[in-house]
Amino acid sequence: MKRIAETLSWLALGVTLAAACLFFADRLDLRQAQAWILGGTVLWFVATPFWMEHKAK
Amino acid sequence: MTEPHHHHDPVEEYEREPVPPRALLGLKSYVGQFAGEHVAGTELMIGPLFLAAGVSAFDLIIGLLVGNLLAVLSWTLFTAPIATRVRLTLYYQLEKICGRQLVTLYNVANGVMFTFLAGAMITVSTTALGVWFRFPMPGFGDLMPNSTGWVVAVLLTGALFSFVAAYGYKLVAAFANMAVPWMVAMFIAFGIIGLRELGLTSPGDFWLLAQTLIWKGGDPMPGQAKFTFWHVMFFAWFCNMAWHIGMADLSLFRYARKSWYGLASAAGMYIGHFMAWIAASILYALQLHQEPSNTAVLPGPLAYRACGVAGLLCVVIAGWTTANPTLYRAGLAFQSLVPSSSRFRVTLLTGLVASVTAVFPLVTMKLLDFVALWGMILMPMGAVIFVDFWLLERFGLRRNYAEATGATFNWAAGLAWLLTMAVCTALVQFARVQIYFVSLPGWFVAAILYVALSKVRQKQS
Repeated sequence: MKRIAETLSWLALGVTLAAACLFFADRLDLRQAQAWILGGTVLWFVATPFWMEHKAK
Repeated sequence: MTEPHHHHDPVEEYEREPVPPRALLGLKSYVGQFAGEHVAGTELMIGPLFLAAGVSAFDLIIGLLVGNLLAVLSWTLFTAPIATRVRLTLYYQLEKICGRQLVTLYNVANGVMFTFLAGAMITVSTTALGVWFRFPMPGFGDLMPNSTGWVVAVLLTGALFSFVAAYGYKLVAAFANMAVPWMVAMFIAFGIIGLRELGLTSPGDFWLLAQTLIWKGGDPMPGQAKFTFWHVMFFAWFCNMAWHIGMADLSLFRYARKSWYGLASAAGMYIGHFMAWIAASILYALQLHQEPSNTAVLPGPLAYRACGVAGLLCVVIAGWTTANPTLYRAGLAFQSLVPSSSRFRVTLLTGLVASVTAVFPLVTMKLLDFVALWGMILMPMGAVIFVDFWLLERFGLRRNYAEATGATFNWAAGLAWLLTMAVCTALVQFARVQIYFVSLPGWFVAAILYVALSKVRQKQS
């Protein structure tokens, strides 16, 4: 489970960065890129709590 | 920038004893910690303010490269060597030198600066709400609020942040750790999208675009100092001065196995104070390019233009995760005045004051000056610690004077601090030395004063 969540988290960051790069390369328009970035953001915050250590003071 | 540390390590342990060998940390934890702590809400303001200061592309890029290197060297050569030798917190080390009362005074000065910084973070987060709710927000250089909507939104945001800092600090600190990799990715996305929107189609043309459309140089905007290479370099070097030369990070590096772990600060400097500042700067250049009359430096609209709703979330989260530890630390600092008072109440009260300051965008619009001022105020105590540790015995004087004599206020250190601030203020007011540079001569003034005053003080006793 943890491993799946971690994979999804890194996928989410990949989506965020890839959307920006695809916009740069004219493969996505701005609205599409922003939608993918929002999707990556949601995925990051859904998946990450399952594996990242909660090490607050 | 000046964000206080939301440490991953247990900094509240070993408060009055050296860190034992079993608790030491490796290089990796320092790299992670620095990378996480220097991507904060403040970066979204600093990048645009550089542009408003009329900086040129060469001055910005090279100034940041050199200034950040000097900051890394300051952590490595000033802070970490003392931290790994004594392995004590800043406050305990200061108490040994200065005495408990003087440390309390230092704490209060720190708390006041933290409160203003938290206010700036509340302002930053509120600019994202303005995009949603469409109330008028302050323009560039505005020092007063300009709409009821703004005042209400700031106060509500501030109240929420304060309440959470008082009651749910740990939860937000954990959330902050989790948000860091995503925020780094968002800043990269801001930069890439901003560059494409400015017309860049090939990475090879970046430098041409940087010189002609982004950092064009020329006159600064009204009310801003013109920034040259030297301004950028000194700003990047000194913006965390309280932490490196000011020695606040003794508390952090006391866990380091080796003093060269100070080099780990490069991760924070070159992600947060290089990449993130440049990305935020590009967002502002894009706004000026698309709407030349819109000079407002508002992180919310800037981020929304490039990354839409995710951009707004980034502004709120970056502001909140910086305000949270800042309010918490300010609360602790003020609580040290009356140790029997409730930390929750003190933090809430501090948050209320921060929220009121946030209504007036003064600190946010003058963030570059504020950060330089903060460094100037706390730097003299770093000089005192440095001189006390390395030089005092060479002059035949006693180290850790307060501890040795039981004094509660070592006036040699207290006067060195106050006189240095007076000299620096005079240099800024009357000798036209800009605030960004004054801490360099100020450090030497503090060091010389501390040696001279210690000689007088110790001769008396």
